[in-house]
Amino acid sequence: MDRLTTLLQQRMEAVNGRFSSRLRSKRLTVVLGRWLGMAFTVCFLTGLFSHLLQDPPGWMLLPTRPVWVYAATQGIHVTTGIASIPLLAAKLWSVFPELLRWPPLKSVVHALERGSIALFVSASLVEVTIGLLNTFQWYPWPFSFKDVHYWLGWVIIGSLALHIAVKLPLIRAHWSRRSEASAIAGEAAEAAPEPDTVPAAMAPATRPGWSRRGFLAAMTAGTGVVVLTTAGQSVAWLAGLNLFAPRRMDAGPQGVPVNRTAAQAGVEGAALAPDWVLTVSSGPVQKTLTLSQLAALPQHSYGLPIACVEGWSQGAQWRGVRIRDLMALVGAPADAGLQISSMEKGGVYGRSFMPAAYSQDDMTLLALELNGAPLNLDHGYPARIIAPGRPGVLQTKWVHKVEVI
Amino acid sequence: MRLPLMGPPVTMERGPFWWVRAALGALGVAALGYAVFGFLANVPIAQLVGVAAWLAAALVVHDGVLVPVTTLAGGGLSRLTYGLRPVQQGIVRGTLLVGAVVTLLAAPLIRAQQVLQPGGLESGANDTVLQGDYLHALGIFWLVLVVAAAGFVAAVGLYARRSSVKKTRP
Repeated sequence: MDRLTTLLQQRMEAVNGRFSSRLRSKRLTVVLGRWLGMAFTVCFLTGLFSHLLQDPPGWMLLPTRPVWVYAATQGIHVTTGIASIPLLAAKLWSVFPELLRWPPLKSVVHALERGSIALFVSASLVEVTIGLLNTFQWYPWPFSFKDVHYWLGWVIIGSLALHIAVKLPLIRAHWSRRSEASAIAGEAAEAAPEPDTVPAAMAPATRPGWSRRGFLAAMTAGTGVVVLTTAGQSVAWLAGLNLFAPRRMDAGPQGVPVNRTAAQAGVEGAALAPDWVLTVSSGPVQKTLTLSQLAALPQHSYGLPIACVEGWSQGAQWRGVRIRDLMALVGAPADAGLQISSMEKGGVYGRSFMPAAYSQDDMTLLALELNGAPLNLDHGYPARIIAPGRPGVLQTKWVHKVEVI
Repeated sequence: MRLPLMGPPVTMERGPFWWVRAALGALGVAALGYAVFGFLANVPIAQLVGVAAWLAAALVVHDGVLVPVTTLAGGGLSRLTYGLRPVQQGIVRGTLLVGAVVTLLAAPLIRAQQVLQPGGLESGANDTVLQGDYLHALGIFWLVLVVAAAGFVAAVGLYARRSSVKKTRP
């Protein structure tokens, strides 16, 4: 038994030696870890904001100004998520020899720590992968994207905090070059270096040509390139560099991209029916309005972005009836919330709830026109909701019923 | 063979930031607990099995395939670029790294386009998503990258030779 473990240990050390690169060092890991930790924290907070906006708890303050607040937070969420892919790969590469350390488990606490790191790593890999594929509207997995992406976010932020707590002394020791120098001097001063350190980590990465700085510069360049060539789907002034994002600005019917077409929603017949009417109701009071009656009401025009959870956004000019005016038509109190029903049946798109923060807002419209022309069928003809600062999934299209609740 | 509960303590001191560590650790464990609760309460068992399978597969693919392959590629590169100056080697490595990062992002995009395009496996009707010519863009990107890198490598070689000539003839 002892001989077997010794043999195994020698083997693992040999493999470890082959995998060790003079580039890998604790300082490199700390530098990459700082970037990745910041990227993950930004992703978590913007993602949490998006999740809460979609299903707001009673205490939540719902911001409607600036009108591009959601376009900004979700654009940041997706772009930071994309940036974290190369950072995650580099960070994991920098600590790869740790994976092969022998013996694999030294104590129960050590086993727990390794388990938490395995969870952290796999959750991070899955999270960035499904997040990226979601922006392509590609779902090759057997689970609900929304729930799993959200709860994995909690797994990641929890294991990130735990990981920092465990590694804080190492992080502090290698935080800056000066602290690293004293840490290495301190380690060298001890007669026997603690068995926990990888020999490669002790060697300062000063090999000419491919130094730590060179590696970090290349990583920064690579991350910069993927950010600049994808962020154009949510940031207008980068649209010209948009080579590798799934969305293009100003593309689609009336110059606005579409998330779900009328054909996908199966509403073509109902939306084009000549007898379409909008039903507005508040308790026992109920009114129906034809499209020409709606068009005869006071019309208002606003420039508002449509911003999707998938990260793309598009500014556009919307014209239609204020939701406030529709509510007044049936004598509803101004601070009431609404339930909006689409002609699309079921699913997350079939129905949305509009808290009073939006229904009271001047800029919240039942839009009939987009960029100077009647709504395209794929944009929700005959009427759709557009409110400032809300996720696109809640800007219900093909509306046929507005109920005060 | 029984595992001890804890390893021998390295030091008995708690360290200057022990309370930050304790707070972060407690918050982390709480968030993890919340996540476990959230998964169990919101995701059906059949889907949880799928999540577990994806988590395991991610570890195997990353640690078992991706990192060993990049490490071997790095080793191979050292041999290929043995005759080059260190700065030139750095340029070659940096170029390949940037190219690999962009390819890593673009490859799933191209694959999604193949799978989702009309007539593909899961064709969708929405032509405002995935409408770029990503394969073409990736090809051009690599071309520009390689040409620029070759130019830099050549320039470094030329400059280094000239300055060494100058040094020998004062």
